[in-house]
Amino acid sequence: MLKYITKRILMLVPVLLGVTFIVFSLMYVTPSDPAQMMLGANASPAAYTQMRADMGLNQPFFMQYLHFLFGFKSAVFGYKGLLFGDLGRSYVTNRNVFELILSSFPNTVYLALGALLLSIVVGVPIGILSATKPYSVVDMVFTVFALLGASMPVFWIAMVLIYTFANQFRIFPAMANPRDIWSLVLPIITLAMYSMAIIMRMTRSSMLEVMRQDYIRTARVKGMPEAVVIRKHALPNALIPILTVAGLQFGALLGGAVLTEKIFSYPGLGSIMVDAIYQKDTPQILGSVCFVAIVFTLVNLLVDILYGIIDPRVKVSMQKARKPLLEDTKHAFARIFGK
Amino acid sequence: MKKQAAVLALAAIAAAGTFAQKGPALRNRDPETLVFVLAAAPQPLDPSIYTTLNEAQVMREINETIIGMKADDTFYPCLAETLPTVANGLVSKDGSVYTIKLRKGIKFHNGKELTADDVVFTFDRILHHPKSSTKGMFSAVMLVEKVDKYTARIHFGKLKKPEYATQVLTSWADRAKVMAPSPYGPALNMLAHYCSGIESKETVEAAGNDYGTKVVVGTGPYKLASWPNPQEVNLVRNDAWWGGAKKVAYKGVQFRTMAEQPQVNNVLMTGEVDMAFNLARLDLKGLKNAGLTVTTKNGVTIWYGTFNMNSDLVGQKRGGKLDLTGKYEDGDTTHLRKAIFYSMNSIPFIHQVDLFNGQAQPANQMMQPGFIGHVEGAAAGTPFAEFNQNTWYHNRGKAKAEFAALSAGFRAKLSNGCVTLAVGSIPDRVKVANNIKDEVKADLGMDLIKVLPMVNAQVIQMSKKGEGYDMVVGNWFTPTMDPDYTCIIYNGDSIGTGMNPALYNNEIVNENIQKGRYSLDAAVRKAAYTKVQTQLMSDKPYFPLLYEWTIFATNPRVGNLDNAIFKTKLVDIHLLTRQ
Repeated sequence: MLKYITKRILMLVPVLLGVTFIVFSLMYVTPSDPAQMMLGANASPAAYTQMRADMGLNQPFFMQYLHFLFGFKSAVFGYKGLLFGDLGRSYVTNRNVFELILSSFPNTVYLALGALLLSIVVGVPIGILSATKPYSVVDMVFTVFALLGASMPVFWIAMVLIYTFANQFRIFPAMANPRDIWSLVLPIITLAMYSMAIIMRMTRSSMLEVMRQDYIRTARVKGMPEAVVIRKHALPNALIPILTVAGLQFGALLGGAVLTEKIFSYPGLGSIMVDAIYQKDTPQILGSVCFVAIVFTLVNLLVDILYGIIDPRVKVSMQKARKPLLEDTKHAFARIFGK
Repeated sequence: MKKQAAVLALAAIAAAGTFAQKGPALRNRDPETLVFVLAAAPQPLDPSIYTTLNEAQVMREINETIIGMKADDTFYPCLAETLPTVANGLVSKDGSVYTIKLRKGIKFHNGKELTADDVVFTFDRILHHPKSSTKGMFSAVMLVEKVDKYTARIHFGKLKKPEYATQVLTSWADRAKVMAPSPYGPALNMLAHYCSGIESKETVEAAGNDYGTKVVVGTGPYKLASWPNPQEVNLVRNDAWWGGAKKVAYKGVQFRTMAEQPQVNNVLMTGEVDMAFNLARLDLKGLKNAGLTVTTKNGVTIWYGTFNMNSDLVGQKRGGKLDLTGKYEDGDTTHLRKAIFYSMNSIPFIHQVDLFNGQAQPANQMMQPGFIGHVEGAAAGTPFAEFNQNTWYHNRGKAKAEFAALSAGFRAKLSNGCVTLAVGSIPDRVKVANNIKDEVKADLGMDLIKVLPMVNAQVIQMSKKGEGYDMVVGNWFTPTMDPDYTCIIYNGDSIGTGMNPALYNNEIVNENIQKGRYSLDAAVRKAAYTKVQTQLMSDKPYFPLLYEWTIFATNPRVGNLDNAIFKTKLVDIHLLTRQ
């Protein structure tokens, strides 16, 4: 298991390189100019040229990418590079890129965890209820609810919730703050709507499939109460796909909190990323995207490990798969570096 | 069952009645703290280096300037003991040297005393720090020197030769080589500008890269308390403020960032914030109905468009090349330019509810009202005589006549969408551009204009060479409150910087901009800028559209708004009262 985890973590390296290369290329071709942005209006052409040189923006594309990976020497804009965990300071905020990410990421995690929890707490029981009474009125109502949840745009939900519960009834604040749990209610509901719908539908279909299995019929024939059949026999077996979706949703919630954070003026990583994109703050964008990529991959790894805990058969298959995968890696290294 | 449902419904209505409130009430927050909405997260609180309105609003409560400016545009001595004038001998007879006598005993928030060294250090940083974005704005400062502990001397000057503008000046010695002493018209405006807020030499040097984010020190009425995330800055009253902390009504100020305008209106109505300017203008009535105070002032933002003089369709070329002589001859491109000019009308979009919703006035010239360079009246024979408050310069007859004057060959070159109107992809700008497109189509009977939204930085890049567009629409904000800063957009010296997208270069205009800049005589300045505006509106490389008003919505508990709110959208928060 440990080797499996190590291998998965090692796989992060090519993933991250790919991500950084794509994002860096996109930033490079985007028609914007950090030097002009820093100097502001009315900068003389001489000052502008000097600033581009100071920032390393006069170098060719690949040289700039190598700077980003291995560092850039400059009195004002120097940094050690991504491989050494230093992307320098944001062009706009002048704060250390990773310091800013680490200070805002917990806020995004609060929101994402809250939304995931709400999605599971509401989505799973509703899914089970729908599955136990398929094609009934209850099922139909919940299906419509799921469709609405999956199709309503986040900004629209947010504005409706704000207008109703903040403006009209004054129950919750319209502005969110990580230090005030009450203020997190509306953003969490906003963020959870889509995941809730997905988890509900996944639970329903997974449960329906399990409920058709022979061992469920056997349990019922033995006279076991329906609640026990569902809780002890059906649900544990239906959990794996639900867990997969929940894991993926958590990753999506981390990245997808962008709009919710902006609307509720919430100080999370999403807000920082959006501001950085608007201002073409290249170090901040690259740092944030790399960070989200790492977190997303780690969450997926965690989900894979949880499979093994929920279903021992998965653990065995992981161990079996370990050897050939290790062999493949050895062969790959041999091909690249020779024996 | 029916009974239960009825009881539940009644309970819901009762609950709604209980919670529903009309006016803004302070929600779950300290009444001693004023909450102010910023349109975007502030950059570091380091006035010598950073210049956007967001950090300026925070910094002006922390860092004070040598000279202060009131909301009515008059000056007062702030860190200086007295206002320097020629009469009191603190301005040299030739107007080039300002002697600043600092108030004694003023302390920074960390207890260090303000001295002339700090003044020298601040201006050195503004002009020579590699990251400084205000170098251009303060470029007329030739030297700042210390006379004694509480006296500094500021020398203004101008370049000895125009070609020196291409040199990067990194020290006082560099400046001395290429500049000669000169009076400088906007001197007091620059000394009152928020970017010249005085910083503590010792503190800034000790903090290094952390200055502006982790370490922030000034002499002002508020000091930095915390900056937990980029979207929230908390200030606390400086009880040792030399100006009298007792006069400052709010113990704390919290700045919150909010870009979504409908959400700004929401949080004002719910009472979660006290004050904001980036409002959804569509719902100003809703704000008033909710009991908020809406304050409107003439602003210093002009919305305008330019015709690219390097364009084959609407420009001014001679022998196939951009004509930089400034002596334009009438030709097909001039006729088309004028045809488009007279087809436009800014009045409809001033009243468009999702655009300005009436919160602007039509512009008749490229200088904002209230500035010394603004030409009052519309004397017969001047281009301003064609302007009308209700119809702008719009004149369908003239537009059609100019269009009809095009030669057959040139006319044949025109097709739908052949005139490219570039615009930064900011929603309001794109709306304005689309309005212009429709107006031109309606009057000339041909859909000539293609609106091309693009990243704003790309517009600036293209504007450096004048390639890839025929027209541009944008806006200009003059934070210095002096006409010299507005003149940047039509000064021939700005060609190549991206600030003069028309690539307009006219000797009369350039000379008079220089005259206005390097004179302290108000009459001389006024005459010079009048000539500039007259020439501009004769040549019509620009089309001034409207002057946007500054609007604030405020919780009714906040008072003294007229004295605290500036045309520049900045607020002297320490002047606000609690009522």
